[in-house]
Amino acid sequence: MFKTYDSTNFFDEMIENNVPKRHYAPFYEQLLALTNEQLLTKHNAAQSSFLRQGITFTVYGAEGGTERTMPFDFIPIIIPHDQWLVIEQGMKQRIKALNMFLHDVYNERRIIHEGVIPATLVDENPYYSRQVIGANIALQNHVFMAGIDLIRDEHGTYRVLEDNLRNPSGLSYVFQNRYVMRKIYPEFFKNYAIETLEDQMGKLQEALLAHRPPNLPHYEQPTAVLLSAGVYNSAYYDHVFLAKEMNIRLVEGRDLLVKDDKVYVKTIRGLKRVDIIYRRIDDDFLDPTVFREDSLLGVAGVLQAYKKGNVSILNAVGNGVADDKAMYVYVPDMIRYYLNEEPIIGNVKTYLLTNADDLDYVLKNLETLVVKNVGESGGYDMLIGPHASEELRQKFREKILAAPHSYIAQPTIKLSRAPAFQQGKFYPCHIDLRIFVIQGRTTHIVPGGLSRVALQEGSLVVNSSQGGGGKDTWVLKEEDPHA
Amino acid sequence: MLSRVADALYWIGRYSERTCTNAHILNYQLEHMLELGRTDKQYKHQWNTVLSICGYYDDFSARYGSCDISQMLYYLCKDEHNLNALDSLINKLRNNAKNSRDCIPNELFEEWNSLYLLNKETSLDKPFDVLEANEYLANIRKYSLTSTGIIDSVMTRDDCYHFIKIGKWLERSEKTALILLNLMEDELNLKKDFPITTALQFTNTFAEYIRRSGTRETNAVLNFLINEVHCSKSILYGITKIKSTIIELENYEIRPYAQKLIEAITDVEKLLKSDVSKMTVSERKQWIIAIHNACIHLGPILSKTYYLTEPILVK
Repeated sequence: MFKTYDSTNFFDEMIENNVPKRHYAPFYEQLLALTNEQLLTKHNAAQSSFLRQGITFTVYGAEGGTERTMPFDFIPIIIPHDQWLVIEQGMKQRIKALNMFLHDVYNERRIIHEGVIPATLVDENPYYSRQVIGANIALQNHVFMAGIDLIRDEHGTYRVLEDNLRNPSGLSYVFQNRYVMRKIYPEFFKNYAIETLEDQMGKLQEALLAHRPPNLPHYEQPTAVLLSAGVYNSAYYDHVFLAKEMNIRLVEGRDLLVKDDKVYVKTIRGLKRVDIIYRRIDDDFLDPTVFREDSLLGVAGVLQAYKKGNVSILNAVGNGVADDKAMYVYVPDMIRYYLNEEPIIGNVKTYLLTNADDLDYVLKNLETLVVKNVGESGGYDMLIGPHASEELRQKFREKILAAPHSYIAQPTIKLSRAPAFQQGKFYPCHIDLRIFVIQGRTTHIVPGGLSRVALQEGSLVVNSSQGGGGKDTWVLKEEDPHA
Repeated sequence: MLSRVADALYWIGRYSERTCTNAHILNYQLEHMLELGRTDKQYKHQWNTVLSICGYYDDFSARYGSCDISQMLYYLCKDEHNLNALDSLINKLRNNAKNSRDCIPNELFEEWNSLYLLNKETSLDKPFDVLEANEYLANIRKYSLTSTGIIDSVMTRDDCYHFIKIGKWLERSEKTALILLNLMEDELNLKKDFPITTALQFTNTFAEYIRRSGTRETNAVLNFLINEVHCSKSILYGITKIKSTIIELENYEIRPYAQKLIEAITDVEKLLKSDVSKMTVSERKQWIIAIHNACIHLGPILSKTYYLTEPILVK
């Protein structure tokens, strides 16, 4: 089946020296029992299941947006128990430090005063919201849900590629990938014991409701809502899924209003008080009286209600200052500064182009580097040096020189690969893994996460908007020592 | 429940019912048309009536001007300028389902989404093919009926269910009134018996009526379709259902804000219970116009009572 599969040159999740790794052996055995025709039939059933259920995302650009499903690949990423423990600890450590950093920069600014992080990186950051400096926020927690993107290098070492502390999407896909896998490929679960996702949403709900606004009397149950931009938002399915699973109302800005610095939702029987808003719209659109005044998605006056302690907004306003691609460079320093620990999972080497030496090196070595716009995501405004034309590289040279603070550069990592089955054949594709961190009174990591795969052969871009697909991710349970 | 979501559910009820009924009427009309010669005087009258019931006669005539079957079918099924075209109804249905997706069962969303996908794949291009058109319409009806089954068998009898049902009953009552209005208004131009038989066929009650009644006299059929309490397509049946649903929604305790709505429904009930046998032809016509208007006016009162808002329409 894998006769022509090439697992050399890159770290491969499944195959080593032309044979499957130990933790993939039972999966491989089941795979051998299926014919190519059966696999194709199952493949088609899986794709149409997503389409029928309307699990789609919107690609902007076309008129009104085009709906697409994220292609699903049935070969899961399997993570052995001991490796997962390291990831879990690494994520908890990172989020703890990032949360402390956010609290610090909106209060005492110790990390800046002590020279660990340059003040300009915070003060000139477009996502640093001066409007919320000193706000008393629930649990002093800025990060209710984070999506941390991990990759593995050529040695199989996990590294953090990106922190998403604003509105990380994709959690619904983690569940849907598992759902489709269980329905259409049940045979593959044979001889495996994996961490279930069944109880995860309960944990998510508990963490959400723990964010009681400071002014809510202790004897009252909080009312929470999920604020979405509506059906045309690219992550709308994610919003529907989360609201439904957490049993909270899915609202849009037009459903809410602020009266006397308190937030209300418009129901068929009049206004009802809201205590917690899990918002899935960006800061810029949240409150037209404070941020973009042309925003139709937000709620006028909500920031004032937030600052007065009448409502909690999750994730906290202004988190963007910590997940900026330039700030990323300093996260290991944050871990050392706040926790006095060494990072368990490191960063990818990153060049800051405001640094003269880095800038010089990057401009001379563009053909070996990846350049990213610090404010963009989803694979936009990005240069993959080795695959780009000289013309494009020159264009990026000019862009970098015009605004060096807007870009960072990283070496082209030999991203790990895993087999994918597309168009009737197996071939190796680059992957990454988005880990979801949930934080309320305690910190919880959703076992597994969303494995994203660059389905186009040779491509390094895993984003769904750029043609990437998804895979189920299995975390193996601890092996029974007596077995 | 959110007002916006209640509004979406109410319109789901309406669009779902309208889609199913329009598909049925077109299906019936296509089969019936086979027996009529294109030059037959009735042919034009009948299609004009169908256009008024399932779309907008004036809009069609202004833009197309002819009585070509392909054009009429295209207008009623796929024309994006016709807000009542099946295509448009299915899009709105799915959009409202998306807007209230956190409140409806997954199976229900999947059914409407599948209908949306099927509709997108189906083209009704010229040359017009009766068999293809019939298959398309039959499929739409099948999806609509299955979704009704899912609503009744899966949904909890809560506010969400009630708003879908109110939408459905109001749409059904209004549609029966609209069918009667159009057929009775054109009574003199249509072949004898035609209006009354067609009213039964369009409301899909022909077999039921024949089984229950021995006479095909106009007043008897009007009584059946207007105030027969056991006929699920009768206007009285729909209005009574709306009233009982509102009372249930209000937990059997009518608060002041819902008073006006209950009064309006009670007025319609009284109007429906008039004795048609004592009316002249002209009075009968006025009566049907009054019923149709009364049904139309219930919608806005309902919207005001529950702060419903218009959903954002698909561009």
